[in-house]
Amino acid sequence: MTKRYVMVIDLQVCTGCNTCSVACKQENNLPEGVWWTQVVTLGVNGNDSPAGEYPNLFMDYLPLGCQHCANAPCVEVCPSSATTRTEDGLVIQDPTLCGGCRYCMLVCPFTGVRVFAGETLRYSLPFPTGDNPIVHRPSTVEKCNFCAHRLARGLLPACVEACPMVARTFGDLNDPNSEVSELLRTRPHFQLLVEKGADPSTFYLT
Amino acid sequence: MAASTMQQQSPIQILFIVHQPGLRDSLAQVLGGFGSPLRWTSANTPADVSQVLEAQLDLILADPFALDQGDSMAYYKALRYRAGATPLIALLPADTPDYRDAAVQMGANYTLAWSEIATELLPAMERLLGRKRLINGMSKHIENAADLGAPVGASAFNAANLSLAERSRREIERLSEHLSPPSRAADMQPANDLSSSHTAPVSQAVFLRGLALSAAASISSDTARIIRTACNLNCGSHFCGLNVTVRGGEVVKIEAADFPDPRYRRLCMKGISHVQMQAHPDRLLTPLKRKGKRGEGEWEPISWERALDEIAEKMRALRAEFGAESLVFLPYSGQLSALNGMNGVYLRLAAALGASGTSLREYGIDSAIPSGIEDTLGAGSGYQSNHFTDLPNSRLLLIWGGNPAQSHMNWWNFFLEAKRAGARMVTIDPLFSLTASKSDEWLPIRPGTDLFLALAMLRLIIENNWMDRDFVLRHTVAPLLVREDNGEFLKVRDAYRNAWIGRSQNGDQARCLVWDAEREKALSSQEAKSPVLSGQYVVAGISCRTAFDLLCDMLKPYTPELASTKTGLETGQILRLAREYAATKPARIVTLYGIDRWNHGATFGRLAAMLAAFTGNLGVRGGGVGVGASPGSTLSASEFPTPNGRRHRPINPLLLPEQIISEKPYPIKSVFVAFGNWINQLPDQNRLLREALPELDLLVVADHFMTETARYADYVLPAATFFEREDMVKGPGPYVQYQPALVAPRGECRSDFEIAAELAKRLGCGDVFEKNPREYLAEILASGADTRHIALDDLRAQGVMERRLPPEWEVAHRDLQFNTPSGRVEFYVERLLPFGRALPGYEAPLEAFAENELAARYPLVCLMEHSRYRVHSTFSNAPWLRELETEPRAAIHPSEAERRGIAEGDLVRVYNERGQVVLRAHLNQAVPPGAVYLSQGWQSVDFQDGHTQSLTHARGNPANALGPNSSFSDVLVEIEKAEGRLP
Ligand code: SF4
Ligand code: SF4
Ligand code: SF4
Repeated sequence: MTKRYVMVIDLQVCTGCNTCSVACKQENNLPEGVWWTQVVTLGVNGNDSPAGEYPNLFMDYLPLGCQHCANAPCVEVCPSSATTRTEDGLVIQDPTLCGGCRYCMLVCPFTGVRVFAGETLRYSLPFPTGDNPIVHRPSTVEKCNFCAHRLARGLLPACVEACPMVARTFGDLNDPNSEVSELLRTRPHFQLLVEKGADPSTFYLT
Repeated sequence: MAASTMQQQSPIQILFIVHQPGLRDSLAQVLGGFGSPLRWTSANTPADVSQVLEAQLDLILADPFALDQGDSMAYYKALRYRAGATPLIALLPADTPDYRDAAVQMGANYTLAWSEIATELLPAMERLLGRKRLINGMSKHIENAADLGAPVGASAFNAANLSLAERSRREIERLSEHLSPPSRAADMQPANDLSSSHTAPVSQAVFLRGLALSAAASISSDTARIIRTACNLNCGSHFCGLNVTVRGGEVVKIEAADFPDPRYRRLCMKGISHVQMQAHPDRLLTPLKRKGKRGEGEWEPISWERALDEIAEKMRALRAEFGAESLVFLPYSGQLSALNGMNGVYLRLAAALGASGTSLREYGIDSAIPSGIEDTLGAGSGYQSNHFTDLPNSRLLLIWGGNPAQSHMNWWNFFLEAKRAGARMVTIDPLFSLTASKSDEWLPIRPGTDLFLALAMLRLIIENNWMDRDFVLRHTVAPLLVREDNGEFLKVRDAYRNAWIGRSQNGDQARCLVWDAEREKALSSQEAKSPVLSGQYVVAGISCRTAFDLLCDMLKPYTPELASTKTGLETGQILRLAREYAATKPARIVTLYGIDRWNHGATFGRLAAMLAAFTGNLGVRGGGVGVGASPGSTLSASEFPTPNGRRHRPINPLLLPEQIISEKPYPIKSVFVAFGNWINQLPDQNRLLREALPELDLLVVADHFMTETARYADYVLPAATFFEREDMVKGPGPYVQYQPALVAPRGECRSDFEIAAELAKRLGCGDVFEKNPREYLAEILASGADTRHIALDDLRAQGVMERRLPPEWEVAHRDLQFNTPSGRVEFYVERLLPFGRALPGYEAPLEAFAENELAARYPLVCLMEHSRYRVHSTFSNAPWLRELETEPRAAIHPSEAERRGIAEGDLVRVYNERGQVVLRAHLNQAVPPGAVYLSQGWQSVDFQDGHTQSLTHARGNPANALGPNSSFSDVLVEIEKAEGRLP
C-alpha cells in the first residue's frame, strides 16, 4: 500500500514560538522574507494578540504551511509541471521548473503557504545553511516540500524535529500503527477549509 | 477559558444521524448536561440530511451505519465536504481500531464508541465547537493576509515592511550622523565583503554565488561534521544541547542534541539563530580604540598587544592613585559557561587584583523576590525551589507574576506534563500572557497590587483554619515569643540571664523561647512539649506575644473585600483561590521576575514563601515556591574558585552609577564589561550616560557586537563565541555539558579566558591564569561534590554527563532545615526591625500606584516584558528573528489608544520626567487599561528615538537581603502620538 504522509499539529500544545519556522528557514536556506511555515495567531490584531475584550480573551496559534492536499488545485493549474503530487502524498514544488506565473497561488485556498520569492533574493550569510540542496531562484514560487530530502534519508521534517513542545507529529496515515493514525483515532481534530474539497494532509488536534 | 470559548448567541444546532432510539435517548440525556443551549434535529435518510444541511448547523453526531446509503465512505466524504467547518463526531457501535480508522478516513473529527458517550462526548464537543472560531479566524487570516505583521512572501517586500537590511542601514546612518559611513564600515567590518549585501540589494551574482557555494560545498554528510556543544545563554537557563553541523569551516546548522533523559532534548528559535550570529557581518573582529568623544562612534582598529598594554597601563595608574577597588569588573549573564562566563575568569581576575566586581549575589537585578525568600526560608535559599522536573507531581500550579511559556519556554514541557497529569494551572497576571492563554484560569490582577492578594489569601487561610497547623507550629516562628519592648524574639539569655534551663549550654543563649502550655513557662522550642500559638505572657518581667498573634494582628485589615477593591478581582475569586490553594495538596507557587521589578518585590517573596509554609507545601514533592527551579546545589552558575579564597569586592550594579558620581564609599574609575550590555540593561540610562560615565577614566567592553555599551567604550575587545573556545556548562538540571572549540575564532577574536589571562599578566597576577583552560575545567569539576566523579576526558568524549546529586534532589528544603537565625521559616524577621518591616505588611510601590499624585501627569504603569525572540539584547540583530519581531512596540489597550488618538502602528512617544522613547504603538486587548507594556533589551539603534531604560529609575529597596534591586516596572509614564515631534 502506498503511503499517505500527513502532519498532525496539536494546537493545545503549540505556543506559537516559531522554532519550527526558524528550523525550516535554516534547513532550507530560505532567503530573507521567505517562510515556508509560519505561525498565525488566531486573535484580532496580528501576532500574539488575542481576540475578545479584556479580560474575556482567548488566543490560539495555528502553524500554517503547505497543507499537501490530496486534491491539490495547485497541481491542476501549474502550466510548467513545477508542482506535482508524489505517490506518498507530498505536493512537491520545483523552483527550477517554476515560471513564476503564480496561478498556483491564486487557486491555493491557503494564503501565505505559497511564497513568491522576490526579484532579488537576500541572505544574511555568504554560505547556504541547512542540508536541503534546493536552488532558490528569484521570481519563482516556493513552498514547503515536507522536507522530502530528509524523508529520503529516513529523517523527519526539520520543523517536526525542532518543535520543543512536541506539538508536531509526522507519519503515514495509511499505516494503522503510526503515531499519526493513533492520534487521529483518539483525539478531536480538524482540517482547514474542508469545504474547498482539497482534502489537506495537515490535521490539527484541538 | 471555557466560558469565553462559547461565543454562540443562538442555540447550538445539532444534527443526529442515529438509527437506534435507545442511542438517541442516551445522547439527548448526555447533551442535557452541556453548558450552552442546544437544539437538535434527527435525520433518517440522505434526503433528510440534505435538507438539514441547508440551514445553519454547528455539529453532526452520526452513526455511520445509520443511513442506508450504499457506499458509506463515499457518502460521508461528500457530506464532510458539504458540511464544511461543521464538525462531525462518529458514534461507533463497536470500538475497534479498524472502525476508528475508517471513521477518520471518512472525515470524522472525532470518534467515539457508544459506550464512551457519557464521559467523552461533552469535552470533545466543547473543543470541536471551540474550533469553529479557529476556522473563522482562519478565514479572517485569509482575508487579511495582506495586512499581516508577519512577513508572508511577497508582502514582506512591500515598502511599508522594509527589509531588515534596509532598516538597520537606516538606523545606523541615523545614529552615526557625526561620522562618515566609510570610516565606520572600514573599522567595523574589515575584510568583510558581505557587509555590502546588507546595505545594498543583493545582485543576481551574489545570489548565484550562494548557489555556487552550495554546489561547491556539496551539501552532503561526507563534507560536514556534526559536533555537540551546549548553548550557554541566560534565556531561563535551559542549556540546550546543540548538534552543530560544520561545513567548510562554518556553522551551517544547529539541531537539538540528545540527553540521557529525552525530555531535555530541545532547542529554540534563538538557539538555531546562533547560525546567523556566528557568521554575522557585524561581528567585531579586531580590537578597537575610541578616536573621538565617547559614543561618537569613531574607532581606530588596533592590535591586541597595544590594546592590552594600554588598558593594563591605565588600570595600573588608576590602581596606584585610587586603589585596586576603583577597578570594577562587570561580568554579566550573557554567557554562563564555567570559565568564559558570569562567574568565570573576570571575577577571578578581580579577586586576584582585589578589585571590585559583581556576582549573582549582589546583582541589583532579579534579586528582590529571592531576597524575601532568603529572609523567610534561609540564607542561600533565595533562588531555590523544587526543580522543574518535579512540576508533574503538583496538583495545582499557581503561576504568579511570570510567563514561563514564553520566558522559560524550554521548561514549559514540564508544565505541560503537569497539566497532562491532571494539575490545574491558575495564572495571576495583569497581562493576558501566553501562559494565561494556556492556563485553566486567569486572574487579571491590577499591576502592582499583588501584595493585597497575597495578604488576603494568608488572612483567609489562617482565619478559616485552612492552614497546616502542625507545620506552622513546628517549622515556622509562629509560636516564638516576641518582646513587646524591642520587637526581638525572646531569647534564653533574656529570660534566664543567671540560670540554666534544662540542658542548655552557653551556645544556646541565643535560642528563641516559646510558651509551653503544660509547664506554664517559657522554654526553648526543643524542650517545649506543648508550645502555644497564641497569647500574651510576661517572662522575667518582659511582656511578650507570640509571633503568630502579631501576624494575625497585622493581617486584620487585609480582608478579601479590600483586596478586591485594590486588585480588581472579585471577592469570590479571591476566596476561591485561597481555598483552592490551601485545599489542593501538593500545590506550587511559580513566581518568576515580574513582581521582582517592583519596590515591594522582596515583601512579595516573603508572602509567597509564607503561603507555601502555612499550607505545608515546603520540602515536599509537587510543592514549593520560588523564582526558578534550582534546588540546593543544582544552581546552574558554576563557580570558578578563586585562588587562596580571595574574593572580589562586591558592587551592586544598581548602585554603581551613584557610587561613580559620589565617589562614596570609595571612588570607581574603571569599568570592564563582559557578557553584558550594562548601559542597555540597567535603569535610568540618562543619568548613567550624562552624570556617571564622564566620571569614569576607563570603560572597556568585551563583546561580539558593537552593543549599546560598547558604543560608549574607550576600548572594545572582540570576544570569541562559545563555538570558538573550549568550556563547559553546568546544566540543564542534573547535567554537565562540554563545549568544544568547534570552529576557529573569526577575525582576531580571542576567548575571554585569553583576554583575562593577558590582562592578569600585565597587572602582576599572571599566576592565577598560568594553567591552560582545560586544566582549570578539570579543577572546577574536581572541586564540586556533584562533579568530582567526572573526568574531563570522559566529559569531552561524551559531551554530556550526569552530576551526582543526592536522592530527592529535585525537592528544595527536603530536610525542613531552614538556614534562618531561628532555624525556622521566619515570617517575622529581626534583621528588618530597623526598617520597621519585621512583619511583611503592605508596602506601597515607589511610583506606580493609583494614589500617587504623579499619576495625574503620568497615568500609565510602564511594565517591561521579555521577548521570546531575544535574550535581553542578544539576538536583537539576528535576521531570522528580526523578521518575526521586526521592531520594538509599545503595547496598549485600545481604549487608552483611542483616548489619545493613537492608531495601530502610529509612532508614539512614551515619556516621563526622566526620559522618553519613540516607537510604534500596538493596540492589544491582552494589555490591561492603565498600562503600557514595553519589551526590554532593544537598543537605541532599534528605537526611533530615546530608550526604554531612560524611563526607569535606579531606586531600589534598601531593606532587601541581597541589596537594592531595580524596580523596572514600578514606573509611571504617559504616551502620546509622536508625529511632528520627532527630533
Ligand atoms: S515549534 Fe512547535 S510550539 Fe513552536 S510554534 Fe512551531 S509547532 Fe508551535
Ligand atoms: S495547500 Fe495550496 S499549495 Fe499546498 S497542496 Fe494545497 S493547494 Fe497546493
Ligand atoms: S516540512 Fe520541512 S519544508 Fe515543510 S515546513 Fe517543515 S521544515 Fe519546512
